[in-house]
Amino acid sequence: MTPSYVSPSLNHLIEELMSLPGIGRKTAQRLAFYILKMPKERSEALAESIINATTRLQYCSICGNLTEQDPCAICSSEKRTSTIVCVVESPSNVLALEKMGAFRGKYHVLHGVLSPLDGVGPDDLNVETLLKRIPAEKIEEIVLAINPNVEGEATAFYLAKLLKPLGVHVTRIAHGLPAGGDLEYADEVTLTRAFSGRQAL
Amino acid sequence: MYFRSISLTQFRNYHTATLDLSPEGNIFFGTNGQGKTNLLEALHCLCVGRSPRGARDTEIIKQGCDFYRLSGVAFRKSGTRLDIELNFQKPNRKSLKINGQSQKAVSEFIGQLSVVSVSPEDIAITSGSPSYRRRYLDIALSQTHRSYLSALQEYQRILDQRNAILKEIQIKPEKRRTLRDQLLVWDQQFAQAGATVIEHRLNAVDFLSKKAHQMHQYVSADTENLQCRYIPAFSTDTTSLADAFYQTLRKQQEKDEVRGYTTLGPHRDDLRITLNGFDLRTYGSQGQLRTACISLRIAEAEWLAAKAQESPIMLLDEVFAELDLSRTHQLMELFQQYGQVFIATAREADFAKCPSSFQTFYIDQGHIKP
Ligand SMILES: [Zn+2]
Repeated sequence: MTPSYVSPSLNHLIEELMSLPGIGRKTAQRLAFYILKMPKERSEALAESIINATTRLQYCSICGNLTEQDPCAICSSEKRTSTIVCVVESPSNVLALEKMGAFRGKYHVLHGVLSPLDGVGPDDLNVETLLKRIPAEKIEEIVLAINPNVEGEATAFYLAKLLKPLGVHVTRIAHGLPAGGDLEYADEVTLTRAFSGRQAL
Repeated sequence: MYFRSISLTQFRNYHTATLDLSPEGNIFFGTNGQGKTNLLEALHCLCVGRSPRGARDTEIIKQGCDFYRLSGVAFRKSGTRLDIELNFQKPNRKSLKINGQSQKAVSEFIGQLSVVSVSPEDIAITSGSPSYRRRYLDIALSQTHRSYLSALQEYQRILDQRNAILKEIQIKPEKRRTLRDQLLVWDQQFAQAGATVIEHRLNAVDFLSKKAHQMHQYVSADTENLQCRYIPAFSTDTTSLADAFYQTLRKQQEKDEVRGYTTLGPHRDDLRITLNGFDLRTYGSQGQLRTACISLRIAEAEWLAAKAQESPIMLLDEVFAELDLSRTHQLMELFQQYGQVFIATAREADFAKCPSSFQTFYIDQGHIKP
C-alpha cells in the first residue's frame, strides 16, 4: 500500500516503472527517487529517448528486426553476405549476436516460437517473408539460432521440414549453448564457438 | 552428509528455533500436533529445496508472517562444511544460498544432499493410484541423476504443449489436418525425452526391486516374496525405446484426438508390485501394504547410498506407530546404517533402546527442549 502523503505524480511514476518486467515496488521506488535526483537535462533526455524509440522504430519489412528506416541497415548493407541468413526468435537476439560481431550474414526475426499452450502456431510466426526471401536473395544457408528449450526445438524442427525442400542448406547452432539456456545470456566466446560448430539438420 | 544444526524462523508453528543435532540420530518426541513433523519437513526443505508432500511455500509460513527462513550447518563425508540458507518471501520470492553464494535455481541444488522421507502417508505407494508409485521413482531418481530430472521436466513441458494441440483437434475437428502436422513437430523430442525417463526408471527399478526383495525377506522372516516391475506401455523388444515410443504415438493418435490428451507414455506408466506372485494392491493385507512400503523406502536408501555423492539423511515420521516394539527396534537399527536419522514419535518406548549418541528433543507447542 502506498501511504496517502505520497504525491500523485510520484506515485504515478512508481506505478509506471512497476509495470516493467522484473521490477517490483521496492526497485520502482529506488528508480523513481533516482530519476528525481537527476539533473533536469538528463531526466528529459531519458523521457525523450523513450518517446523517440517508440515513435521512430518499426519492423523491417524484409527481416522483421527493429529499425528506424525500412529496410534496416543490415538488410541494405552491401558488406553483409546475403547468401547466409541467421533465424532468431526476437530483435534482442539480433542485438546479442551483433555484439559478438562474428556473424557477417543477414538476419530473419521470427517474433516468437511455437507454443500451442500460449496459442502460438506456425501462422503466428514471421515465416512467410522468409520463404519469399530464399529465391529473391538467392539464400544458400539458413542458420537457426533459436534457444535450445523444448519450444525452440519444436520450432527448429518445423522450420527444417519447411525449408529443406526449397533447396537451402539448414543448420543449427547448438554446441556450447547450455541446455535450456538463453542466447542473450551466453557470453561472446560461447556464441562464437556455437557458430563455428553449427550442425546440419 | 549430516546436519550439525538447523534454525527455523517463522516456519509452520515455529516462531524461531535452533537445534544442535547429533550426527548419528535425533529424536523429536511429543504428542501429536506439537510440531514434530514440521521439523522433519524443515530438514527435507533444506535438502531438496521444497516440501516432501508438495505443500506450497505460502502454506509453510507461520500464520500472520510474510516470510520464512531455514538455515542449516552440514558437513560432507569429506569434512567440508556447508552453510545452507533457504528464504521465502511472500508472494513468491525464493532464494537459496550455499556458503553465502546464491544458487541460480533450486533445481541446480538437487542431488547435493540426499534424503529419504518415510511417513504414514507412504501407504499410498502400495495402495494408491499409479501416480504415487511414479512419484516414488521420480524422487529417488531426481536425487541421483540430474539428466533424469531435466528429461522429466522436458517431457512434462512437451506433454502440456502436445495436449494443447490434441485439445484443439477435439474442439475443432475441421482443422484436424493442419493440427496433425503440428503434432509431428513435437513428437520426436517427446519420444526422446520419454525414452530417457523410461530408461532411467527401468534401470532404477531393477536395483530397487532386488533391494526391496531382500529387505522384505528379512522383515517377513523369509515368508514373503516381494517383487517390483516397471512396465512401459509399449513393447521395447525390437527397436530403440525412442523409436518404439514414437511408433506407439502414431498408433494411438486417433484415440488421443478423441480424448483430447495423450493417453499413453511414462506419465501414465505404473510400477507393478507383487507379493508371493499376487498383485499387492489388490490382495495385500493392511499389514503387508505397510511393511512393503518400509521395504521400498529402505531400497530407496540403498539406492541413494549407492548412487548419490553423499549418504542420505533419513526422516522417519511416526513410522512405527502401528508396529510392536521388537519390530520397531529391529527397523530402527536398519535405518541407522545409512546416515543421520531423524525420528518423530509419540511413544517413549520406541527409543528406549537407542544408542546413547542419539539426541532427544521434547517438542511442546512449537517449543523445543533438549
Ligand atoms: Zn532488415
